[in-house]
Amino acid sequence: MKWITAVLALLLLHQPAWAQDSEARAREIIDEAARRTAGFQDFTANLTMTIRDADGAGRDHEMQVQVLEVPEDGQRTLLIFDRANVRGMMILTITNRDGRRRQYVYLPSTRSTREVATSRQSESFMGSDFTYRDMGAQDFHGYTYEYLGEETVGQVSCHKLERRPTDDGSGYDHQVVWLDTEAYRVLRVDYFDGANELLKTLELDGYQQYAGRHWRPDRMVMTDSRSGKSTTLAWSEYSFENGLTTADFDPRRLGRPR
Amino acid sequence: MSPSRGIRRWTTSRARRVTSRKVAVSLAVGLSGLIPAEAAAQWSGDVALGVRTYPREPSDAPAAGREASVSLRATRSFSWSDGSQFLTVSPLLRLDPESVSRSRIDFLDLTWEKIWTRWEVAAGLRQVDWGVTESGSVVDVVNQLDFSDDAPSPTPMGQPMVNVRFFPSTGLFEAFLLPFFRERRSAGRGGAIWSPLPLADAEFEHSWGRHHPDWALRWSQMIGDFNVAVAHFGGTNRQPRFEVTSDPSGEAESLTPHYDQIDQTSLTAQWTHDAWLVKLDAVRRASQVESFVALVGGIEFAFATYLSVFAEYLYDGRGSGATTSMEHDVFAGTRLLTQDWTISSRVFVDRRNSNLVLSTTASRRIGDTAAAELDGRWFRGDSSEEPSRANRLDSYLALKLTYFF
Repeated sequence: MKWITAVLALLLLHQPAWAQDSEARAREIIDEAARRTAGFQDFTANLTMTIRDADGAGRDHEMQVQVLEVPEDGQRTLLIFDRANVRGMMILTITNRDGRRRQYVYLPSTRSTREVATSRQSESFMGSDFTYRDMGAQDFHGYTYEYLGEETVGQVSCHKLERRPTDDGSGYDHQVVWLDTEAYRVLRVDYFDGANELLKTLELDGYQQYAGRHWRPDRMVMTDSRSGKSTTLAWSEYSFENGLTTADFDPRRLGRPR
Repeated sequence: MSPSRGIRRWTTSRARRVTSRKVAVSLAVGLSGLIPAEAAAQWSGDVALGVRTYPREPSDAPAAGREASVSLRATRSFSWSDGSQFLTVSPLLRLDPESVSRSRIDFLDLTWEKIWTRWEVAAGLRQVDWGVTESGSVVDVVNQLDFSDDAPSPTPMGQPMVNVRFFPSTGLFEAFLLPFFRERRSAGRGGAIWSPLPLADAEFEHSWGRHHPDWALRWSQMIGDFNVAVAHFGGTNRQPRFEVTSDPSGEAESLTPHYDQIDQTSLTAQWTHDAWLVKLDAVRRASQVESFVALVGGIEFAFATYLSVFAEYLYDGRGSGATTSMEHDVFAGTRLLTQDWTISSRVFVDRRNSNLVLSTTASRRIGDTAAAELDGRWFRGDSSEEPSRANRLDSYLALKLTYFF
């Protein structure tokens, strides 16, 4: 029986060539995509988030987003709210390299900054269909990938990949991602649960190139497949490499004008 | 109400109101000279109309069963020199059609600031917020409180100050110079002092009175998951102490608010870990008449971003001699935030006598620019057990409509 065990062991441990290839191919594509979206230093943009229920009735949230890439140390994001009753309120999120996050809320009336409980990544961002994890700039880390082939999305030729999150807290079992073959931009993501049921779909369009290098979408629409609700993020006034520093994202100094 | 017996609303004398308004106006005129022509930005703020009713009529309470007010708050910032200098102007106007003493024209913020890489300096009228706990403000010693405002808890008043901040790589050092003391405002039923004796003019321990230059130093630091701050304040206590003055025959004649000189050292700490927060606000206050420790400690748990619960314990070393009614209380609260609603509920229970104060605020947004808020407080217990100058015995129901611009 020993030789059967040995053969079985060999078969199971040694992945067939095609499986290895698909992972390697996927890794190649993802590394290129990550390389192209990183290195932006900082950017600011205006964001209008519209949350629509199944009937199409919507609620708008307007805010300014500022993001700083801290070399070797993660990222800082500042949301500055603009709607009348919360004008000037800010939420600062500091994420370090190992994914540890801290969140602070700044209230302009008292100029005070409080550290608050960090929301779980799988929670809905402000009641929308995006979770906190979805809101992070297209995040290629934290998954294992498999290449599924090429497919067209709206007449654009794309690489199709399946990915599984490496941590359990994301709320999804696996996702299917389409990246265009030309510039490796994410055009669509389908989110599935463990029973392979489609939970949500994210579509990104209106990509424009900024500062000669950075592609960013003008619109991101997340649709909840089961309830018919959707959330649209409309981005405008992108501005890259503004010379922002950690001082602009310092929880002790959020009172400075922006 | 007759001035000799019964409750007299506590008002600042006319002369003092004129002086403090003069100071605010001179500050505004002086600071406006700093604004260069190209300063930008718009006014934003809100206009609110509020009505409050008091259903109970206890025998020794002031008579007003209903109060109303209109308020306007606006804010505008001007910045120049590439954002390294800025001026913030936030006027406040409150009008109570039935009470001049509840009305006020003030600045919540009127500050000029200049920032450098590691230093910042600010001068003007502003608020600082040091406490981390939900229920109490033992640590907030800099700003005076307005008890006559239309709000569930007393609102802070702007304090004239010069504030220097230094930012080494971690931590923050601050120094405050606080000239011009502001007296406590408690006109109206919301702030009334419950005593049959009339109120006399305020007395100050220090001969310079309200011109005594108070000061404070503060150090704050993030250490791992902890945010810690230690501060020291030296100067005039914002919280008055009442003394009964008697006439020559020994009969009680009036109640005099005394503002003593104090030295107060405080410690604030917060430990944050994912959905849990553990908080502490502690002070040690020493003055000519007393020396004690007061603290508020508690935890907060966030079930999700939209639902938080709080549990805290309030302790005042003075016990029954405390000037607030929160010397041995347990506090619990929740806050729920949805797309359209903000609902928060708070309850204080006095451990000694089981008196209970429950307050709830429910606010709903109306479209993108307005909100309606219903706010109520209910007191249950033996009011004779509370210090006679506590105002929280009064149950009320209030409605406020706000338009934001």
